[in-house]
Amino acid sequence: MLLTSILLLPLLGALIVLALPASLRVLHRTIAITVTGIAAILSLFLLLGYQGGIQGYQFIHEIPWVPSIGLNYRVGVDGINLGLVIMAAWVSFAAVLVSYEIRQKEKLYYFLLLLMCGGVIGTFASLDMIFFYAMHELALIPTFIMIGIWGRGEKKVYSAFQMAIYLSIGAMMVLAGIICLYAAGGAQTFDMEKLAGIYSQNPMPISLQKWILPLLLFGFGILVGLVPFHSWAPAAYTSAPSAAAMIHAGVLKKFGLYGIVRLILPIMPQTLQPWMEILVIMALINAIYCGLIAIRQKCFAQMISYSSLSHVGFIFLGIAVLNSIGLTGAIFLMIAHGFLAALLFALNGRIYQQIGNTSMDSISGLMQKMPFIGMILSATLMAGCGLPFFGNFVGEFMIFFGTWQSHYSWPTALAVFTGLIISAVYMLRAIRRILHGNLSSIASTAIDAENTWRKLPFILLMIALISIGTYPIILTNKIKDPVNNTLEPVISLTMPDTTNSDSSK
Amino acid sequence: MNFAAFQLETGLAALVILLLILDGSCKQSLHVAKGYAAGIVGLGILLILSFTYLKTPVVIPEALIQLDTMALGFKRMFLALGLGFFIINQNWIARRRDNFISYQSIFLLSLIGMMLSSSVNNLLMMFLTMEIVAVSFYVMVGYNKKTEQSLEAGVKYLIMAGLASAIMIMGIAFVYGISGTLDFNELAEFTPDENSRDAYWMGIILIVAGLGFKISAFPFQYWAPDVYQGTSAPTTGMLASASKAVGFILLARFACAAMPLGSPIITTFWAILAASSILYGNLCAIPQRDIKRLIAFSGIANAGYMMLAFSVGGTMAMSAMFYYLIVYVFSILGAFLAISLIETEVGSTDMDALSCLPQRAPFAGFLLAVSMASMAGIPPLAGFMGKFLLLKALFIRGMADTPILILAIVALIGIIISIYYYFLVIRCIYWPANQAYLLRTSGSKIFLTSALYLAGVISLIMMILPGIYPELLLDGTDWMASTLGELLQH
Repeated sequence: MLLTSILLLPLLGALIVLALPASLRVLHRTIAITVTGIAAILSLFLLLGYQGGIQGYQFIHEIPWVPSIGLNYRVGVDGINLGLVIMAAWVSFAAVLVSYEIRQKEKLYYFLLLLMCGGVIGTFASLDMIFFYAMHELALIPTFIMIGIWGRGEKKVYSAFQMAIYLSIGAMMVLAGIICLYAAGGAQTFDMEKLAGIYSQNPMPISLQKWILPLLLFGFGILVGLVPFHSWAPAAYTSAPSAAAMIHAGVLKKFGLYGIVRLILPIMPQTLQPWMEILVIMALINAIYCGLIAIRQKCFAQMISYSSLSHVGFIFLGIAVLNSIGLTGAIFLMIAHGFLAALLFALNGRIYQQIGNTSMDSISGLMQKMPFIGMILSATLMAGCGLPFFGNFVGEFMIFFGTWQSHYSWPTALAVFTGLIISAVYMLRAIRRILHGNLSSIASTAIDAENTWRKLPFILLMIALISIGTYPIILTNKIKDPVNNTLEPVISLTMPDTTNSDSSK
Repeated sequence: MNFAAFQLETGLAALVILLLILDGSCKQSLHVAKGYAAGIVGLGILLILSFTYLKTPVVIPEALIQLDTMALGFKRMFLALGLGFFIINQNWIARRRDNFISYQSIFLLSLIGMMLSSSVNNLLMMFLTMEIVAVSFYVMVGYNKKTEQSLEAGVKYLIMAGLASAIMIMGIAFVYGISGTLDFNELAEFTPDENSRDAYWMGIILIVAGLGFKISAFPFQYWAPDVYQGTSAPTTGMLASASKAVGFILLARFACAAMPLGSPIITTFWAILAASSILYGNLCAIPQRDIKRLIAFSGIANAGYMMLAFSVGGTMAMSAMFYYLIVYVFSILGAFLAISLIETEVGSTDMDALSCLPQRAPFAGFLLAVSMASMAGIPPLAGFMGKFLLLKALFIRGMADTPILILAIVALIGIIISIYYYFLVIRCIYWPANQAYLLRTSGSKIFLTSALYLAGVISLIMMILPGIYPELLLDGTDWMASTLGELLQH
């Protein structure tokens, strides 16, 4: 019930907003803040109530939906999605808080935003594949509309369209893969847990895995922005209103990564190995290529979009190395990166709203005008280049360990190089360009966050980022066990392989 | 004779007679309002009766028409759809200051044909009901006799539909000559001997061609875009929804009876038809700038999706197809409510004209956007569930059958392409590319009568409710498909 109320609160709020007349502007915002705030606080009870060391899911709530085809509403958390649900709830709250910049069609805006919030929380809480997919769509469609209506710049409709087409293709591939998993199981169930159990008993035929695995992998890959399919991301995030970019880049994009962990790793271990080797290469391309592009960007929004893609590369790397520490790191980084990306896009939104553009050529010396925003911005950018005591450091570090452990020596070296040097180059450069130097003329009218309400989203996200960075064990402890369970079939299959290669060395 | 099977149709015929009497007896200004009210109330009562009075199916062996579960379900669908289009028609007629009765009574006659078609259990009755529908449409398509486009569409439809009927009756002659029966149940048990097999299958293919014209499936689709464009919007809507539904209902009954669905060669036959319809329809829809033409092409693609069910066979696929069909016709109802408003108020069905909807008729704009999203398969709308159920049936069969898997992938590619043009329509409504046009078409608010809202709400309920609570409709379609299960068992 706890999980259901967390995900239903924003959806109920959306319905209430829809029912109210459009003239009650303040009320729409108040309702949105209230419901997402309560949902965020309730999500902390998940963390408190979660019992480590227990196999399987907790806080399960199940309602039959279409029993004749085995479709049920079923939510629950284990270590893997616990952090993601909490992250989704808090980022949603922060996204609603920064939405004061919206001054037109507020009713529609808060309706869509609350749908998005409910959708992202539901995506990660669902244990039924169709709900998992449908909740993702529920959050995705408002994103397109929000970019189209409240977006920034001349090309907003174009980039909304580009994003819609790319992501629809990815989502369709995922849907096909999900139906294939259902059909091949022959057990009339869409339940992830049951399916994983069925396939561990009698594995899926290799001839089917050959089709389904790439279908799902690239479907999820498109949704996340794996390199040849990434061009929608920078355009869309640059045009999106802050809240949409925060939720999409921070939370919703993790759908693809989470999907790979939940649906591909435990269900298709037999054909996994060669694809994961390819994925290591693609992940490195993501990390390095997008990092290098980020260095070239003159626009702050473009830069953080590319840096976000570059970080996603690390997460892919952590998944692809197929060992416990790498995967734990990947999941940890998903959470940390969620907070980080949300912070960056919130800051970007604030700067855009004050100055009117985010070109790093024309903005300088902002620290003099906006000390609070400047402080948060420099801390966030430092976190982005992997400074200890921030969440990202822990995640990236674990992924490097994982890569090394799986005998990927040169990929490790390359990844460390990117993680530490390339990202430092563009992040530090952004700090120097935007915050330091002489105050540029267009920045002279900028004002800092006026009051505690305006500061609150930044403070909350920063606290989250620092607290998981300084006390990572609160999450890693919980992530470890389910990760080991997930990887068990893969490791038991590849064990003879690794011993062979060791002896040959 | 199965009297239960045409009770509703008799009621509808009485309604037509009542309207004709009203036409002669009242003053000009009064009869429209009275006739309109009588039509809505009459259709409403029949719809309620179909749920309360006629709850149980009545099946009499060897009767020409049956009131089985499938017939009952589709009669309800046609009544609800007919109610919606009756209202839209009325709005269109009122704009033209035209004779109300002559158009609406022909429309209701076509509805009688459609409802009868859902009961058909015999080749001859199949032809007969199809002709009732087609002849009514000859009149309605060419009704706009003062515009050249409408006349062209009328002639084109007359020739093509006549040709299709001729081809079909030829096929029926072949099948009857060899099997010696017209009854579907007997046909299901009949297997031709070695000598007559080719001619028998020739007959079946000719019948499928005749029905393929109705559903505008791929090689028989040429008439659709031109006729859709030239015809007035309410009639186009009926052509795109109800007339297509008639084709699919007859096809489902006929194919389940006469063709061994699921056998490799039949599967390949339907797979080729379905795949070519999906690809042709979707690819040709992309460059369209006229909303009616776009819906014509998307209709070809949708016919392709529904034909996927025939290549799979089995009651599960048929149930999925019924689900898809019902959701599809009500999406078309919603879309054409908006399109007929645009046509009468702006005088154009160009996609740019849609941009005036949010200002002038926000409800109609919303309705069109939702129906496009539903047809594109966006959850939680019902269109998603329809596509999902069809794909599910396809993939379950495809796990053991690689060609079906390829067909499923073609269907997916089609769905992905279709998302583009459905979103293009939504974009034309809310974010028009051409701001100048927006100004040119801006005008006073379009007044929507409360009846129009009723039609819109019928469409909205059928697009949203089965998506959120699929069991509601899925139970019904399973129940309807159980009729076909008996035919399929042979």
